[in-house]
Amino acid sequence: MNTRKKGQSVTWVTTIILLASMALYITPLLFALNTSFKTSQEFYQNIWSLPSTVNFSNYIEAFQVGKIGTYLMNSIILSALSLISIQILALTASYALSRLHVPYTEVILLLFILIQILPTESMIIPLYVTVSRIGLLNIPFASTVLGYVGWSLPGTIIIMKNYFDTIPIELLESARIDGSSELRTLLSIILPLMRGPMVACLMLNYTYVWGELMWAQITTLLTDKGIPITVGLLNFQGTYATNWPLLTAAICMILIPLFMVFTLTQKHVIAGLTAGGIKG
Amino acid sequence: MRHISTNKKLLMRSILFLLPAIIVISITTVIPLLWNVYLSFTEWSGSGNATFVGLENYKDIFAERITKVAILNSLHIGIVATIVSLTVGVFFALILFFASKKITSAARIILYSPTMIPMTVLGLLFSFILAQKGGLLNSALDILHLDFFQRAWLSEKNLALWVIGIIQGWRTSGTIMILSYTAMLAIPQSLFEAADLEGAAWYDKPKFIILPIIKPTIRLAMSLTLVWAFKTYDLVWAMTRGGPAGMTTTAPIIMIKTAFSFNEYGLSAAIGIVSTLLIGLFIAIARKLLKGEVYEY
Repeated sequence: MNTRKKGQSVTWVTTIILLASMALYITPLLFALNTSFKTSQEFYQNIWSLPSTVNFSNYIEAFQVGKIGTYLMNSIILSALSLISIQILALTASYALSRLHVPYTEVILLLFILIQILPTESMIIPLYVTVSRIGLLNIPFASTVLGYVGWSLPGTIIIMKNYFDTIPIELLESARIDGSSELRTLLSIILPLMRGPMVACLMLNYTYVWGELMWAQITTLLTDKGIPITVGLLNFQGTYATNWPLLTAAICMILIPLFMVFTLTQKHVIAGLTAGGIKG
Repeated sequence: MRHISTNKKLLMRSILFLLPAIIVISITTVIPLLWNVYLSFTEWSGSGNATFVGLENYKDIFAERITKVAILNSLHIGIVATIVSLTVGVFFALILFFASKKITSAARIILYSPTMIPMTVLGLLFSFILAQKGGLLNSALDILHLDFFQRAWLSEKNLALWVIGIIQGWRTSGTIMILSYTAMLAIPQSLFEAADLEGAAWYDKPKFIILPIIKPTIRLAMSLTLVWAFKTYDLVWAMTRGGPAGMTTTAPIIMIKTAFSFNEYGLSAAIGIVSTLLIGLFIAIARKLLKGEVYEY
C-alpha cells in the first residue's frame, strides 16, 4: 500500500515536470509564430501583443522577395534525389552484405563504421577539388547530392544490414528454389518486410540532408542555381538583418512542414534510432 | 561441379549489388581522405603544382593565433555541449520513464523536436530569442524585473561561446533522451518490483538500477555528442558568423575560410586532420572516463 502511494507521487511529480518542460519548449515556437503575423511596427511597439489582424503578408514577402519558395523547392529536389539514391544503393548493398555471402563482409562493415565516425571535415576539401575539376559543379544539385549520398551510405548500410539479418534465410531460399530471380526476391519478398526500417533510415537521412549547411554552401559558392533552404535562409538573414516578423515567417515556413512529417513518422524514426543495434 | 558454379553466380550477383555503393563511398570518402592526408603536407593554392612542405602546416596551426583560438573554441563548445546534452537527455529520459504513460508519446515528439530542426533554422530562431533588443529572453527578463540579468548574449566575450555550447548541447539532447529512454524500457520489470519489495526510496531506482544498466548507452551517447559538438559549424554560422572579431570562430569555420578565402588548401587540409585526431582523442578519453563493467541481466 505504502509503496503504491510513493510510486504515485513520483508519477505525479515527473508528469508535472514533463508538462512544464513541454510548455517551455513550445513557447519560443509559438512566440515566433505569433511574431510572423505582425508588422514590423507592431512588433517593436509591443513584442508580446497578439497581431491586430492575422495577415500573411510576411509569408508572401518571404516567399516572393526572399525567394524562400525557390530555396524550399531546391531543398525538396535535393532531398528527393539524395534520399532515392541512398535508399537504392543501400538496399542492394546491405542485401548483398547480409544474404549473398560477400567475401570479407566483416572487414567491409568495419571500414564503414570507421568512415561513419570520421568527420566530413577530413574529406571535404579534396572532394570539392574533385567535383570542381571534373565539371560536376556546373550541373545543379549533382555535386551536393554526390556528397550527401556518399557520406550517408555507410551508416545506412549498417542499419539496413542489421535488419536484413533478422529476416529468416529460409524465406529467401524457398524463393530461390521457386526460381525467383535475386532482384525479384528483393522487390517482392524483402521490400514489404523492410518497410519500417526503410522509413526510419529515410527520416534519419532526411534530417541530415535537409539541414546540412557546409557542403551545400561550398558547392553552391559560384552559382545561384540549386541553392537549398539552409544556405538561402542565411542569405535572407543577411539581407533582412533585424526584420524579425519577416524572418520568423521564413522560419515557420520551414518548421511547419517538418513537424507534420515528423509527427506522422515518429514511431519509425524512434525505432530506427535505436535499431542500429550499436552498443557502447 | 554444380555447387561451384552456383557459388560463382552468387559471387557475381553480390558484386553487382555491392559495387555501386562501394564506388560512391570510395569517391566521396576513402579517396578524399587519403588525398587530404597528402595535401596537409603540402602548400597548394588550388591550382598549379603542390609543393611538399613537410610538417610546416601543422606547425602553422599552433603558431597562428586564429587557428589556435578556433580549435580551442571548438573544444570549449564541445565540452559544454556534451555536459548539457548528457544531463538534459538522461534527465528527460528518466522523467519520461516515470511520468504518466498518457503523455509520454506527445512529450517524446516535443522534447525530441530540437533535434529535428535544422541547425541553421535553430540558430536563426535563437538569434531572435537572444537578440539584445526585442529578443524574447531580454524582454522576458524586463517583465520579471530582472533587468540586471540582461546581456548582449551573442556578442559578449566568453559568454557567446557558452551560449552556443548550451544551444548545441540542448539540440542534441533529444537523441540522447531517445537512446537512453529506449535502453531503460528494456530493463526487466522484475528488477523494479524487487526494489519496491525491499522498500527502495524514489531515488534508489535511478541510482542503483537504471543508470548503471544504461551506462553503455550513455557512453555511446557521450562519444556521439562530442563529435557533433566539436564539428559545430551551422549554428555558429547562423548566429554569429564566427564574430565578433573571430571570438566564436570554430575549427570547421576556420578550415573553410582558410581554403576558400585565403586559398591555402594545404593548411586547410591540416586543420581537418588535426580536428579528426582531436575528435578521436576525446572519444578515447570520454570512454575511459565512463569505463566500467557492463551489467548483464
